[in-house]
Amino acid sequence: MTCHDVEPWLLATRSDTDLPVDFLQHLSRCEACSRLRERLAEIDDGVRALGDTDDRPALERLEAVLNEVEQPRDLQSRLLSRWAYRIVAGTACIALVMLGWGLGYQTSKSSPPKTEPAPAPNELNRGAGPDTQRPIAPPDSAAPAALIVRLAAPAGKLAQETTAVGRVSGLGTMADEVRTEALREASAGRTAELPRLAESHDRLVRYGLVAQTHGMPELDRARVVQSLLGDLARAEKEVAVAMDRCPPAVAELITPLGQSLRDAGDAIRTNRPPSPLEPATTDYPVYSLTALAIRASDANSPLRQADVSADMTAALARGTVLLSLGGLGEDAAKLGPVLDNLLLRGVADNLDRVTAADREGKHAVEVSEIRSRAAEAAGVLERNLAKAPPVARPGLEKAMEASKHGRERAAEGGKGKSGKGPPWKRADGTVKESPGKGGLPPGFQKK
Amino acid sequence: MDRVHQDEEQDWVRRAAAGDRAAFAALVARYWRPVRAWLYGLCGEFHTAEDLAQDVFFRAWMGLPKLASAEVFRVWLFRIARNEYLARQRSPRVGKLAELPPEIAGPRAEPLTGLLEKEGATALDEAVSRLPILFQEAYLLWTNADWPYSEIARVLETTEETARWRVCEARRRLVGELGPLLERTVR
Repeated sequence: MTCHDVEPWLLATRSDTDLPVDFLQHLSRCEACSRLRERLAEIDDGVRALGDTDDRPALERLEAVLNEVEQPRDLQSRLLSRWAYRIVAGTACIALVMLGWGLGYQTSKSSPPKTEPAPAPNELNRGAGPDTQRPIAPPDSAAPAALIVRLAAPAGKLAQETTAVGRVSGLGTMADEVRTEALREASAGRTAELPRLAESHDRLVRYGLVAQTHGMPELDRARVVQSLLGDLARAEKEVAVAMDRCPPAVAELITPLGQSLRDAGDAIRTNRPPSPLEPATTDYPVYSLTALAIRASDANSPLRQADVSADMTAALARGTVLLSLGGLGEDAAKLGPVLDNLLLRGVADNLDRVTAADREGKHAVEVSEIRSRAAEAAGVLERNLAKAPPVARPGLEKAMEASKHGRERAAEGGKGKSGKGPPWKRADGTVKESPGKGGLPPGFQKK
Repeated sequence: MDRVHQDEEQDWVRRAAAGDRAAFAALVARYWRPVRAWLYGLCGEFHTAEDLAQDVFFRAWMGLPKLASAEVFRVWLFRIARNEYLARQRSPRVGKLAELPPEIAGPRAEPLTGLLEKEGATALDEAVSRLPILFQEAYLLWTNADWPYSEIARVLETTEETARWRVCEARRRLVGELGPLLERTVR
């Protein structure tokens, strides 16, 4: 038994814990370990004593408040109805997915072989657990993660989604998150973000959802539209209720939410195409992510999906850094797995598929450019970590750890495989044969 | 917590969820100190910690009818506390109170032992506040609530291993930082 064996035990156990006999024997003859145990006990006792103060006034105030407040009694019935709704909605979703799968299976039998490979499978939901993983704290007391974190997973999923039904679901989730955030801000009287949130919501609903349902096969459309219209109507009611509760000046700022929902509902009902999307006019992170999600939902080939995944990686890497610097290390850390998934599945896997199918090398330049962009985006974390203040480091480090595999894979792709260079170069770096004029690669000619 | 206390607590939780104020008062009496001490450790201000603790128990009272199982009460309560703390941190209005200038801060003439104790407490307070927040919350929960790692992990939404590692790291850093001071006070 050495100090090296004993120290982890001392650090992990409380000072009054009974230690095994061999540990006690070591402590009795090792002054350093025995001193460490004493120091740890002193520190723990000191920390326990730090918060000691006269609590009576605060407790009396709390008691006075609690005596005046009644518990909301109708919550249990509301909770039951919410669960019933979830069960029905869940069953409907499963039925839709099964139908989509069945249709895909049927059409894949009859349609001619595609020249482009299938995009990478969606991996983002792999870890989603059952309801036991929901937060135990009630929704009204839960501090939500930053909006960009809540949007990251569905946005990443969209960059890998291949079905219109899945895209509708992803865009709907994002719109719900943005709208919930806007209503929460409005109810708290915070108005600064409302116009931009309303604009992001508008793009998701009026363009994203409408475009997806417009292009859908008729059979899918008939089934999806009905439930989607119900969701839009419910959301519109939520907005109306929130507007009633807000002061008129604030209500005016959330009016566009209801308008977008109404317009989208009309367009979907009549199967109108969406009006053209205006380009994003601001660098507001949520706005950029929303725009990228919409672009992702329009990407219909692995190459386009890889392209938008690389851009999304850049946006989320920037978001990770900003959250860390803003002291929201936990939120920043949550973006790590999304980045990892985007880099692995969205960029690397899709590019591998493109390369495998592209025997003539038509897309080689684009593939290489996307790989470089993804590697560059992933490098943002490392570069910022070097200069980050101590408070920002844990979040960044955690995000980097979580996205390690994806970043490595992106970096490998960006640099190319070792030992291989441009086709016109020898292994030792000398020029062998060039596709350009004068035996030199394009851009190297003397003028 | 032993079995008797556990059963007693679950009984309080069920009664409080049904609107029994006396049962909720018993829960407050049991958990006020650990919750307030934990929040104090995280935010470093007595009054803020008290305010937050009041909010936590208020929300717990309002949310109890929705609590699915009485067994998870304390994890649920500390999650509310954590959420309240994080929400406050996110608030743009949050900011540390300025220290009082020396002339208002109170008389300085104290016995030497009192000063030494005060110095130790301040150093400890500062050392804890310098810990990364992830280590801080795990270590303070471990110290103040006296819980097993499994429950700490549930509050912090992480694995038991990670919770243990964070506590160990926090303690390692504190010993490293406060070791010289502790040596001095012993001498």
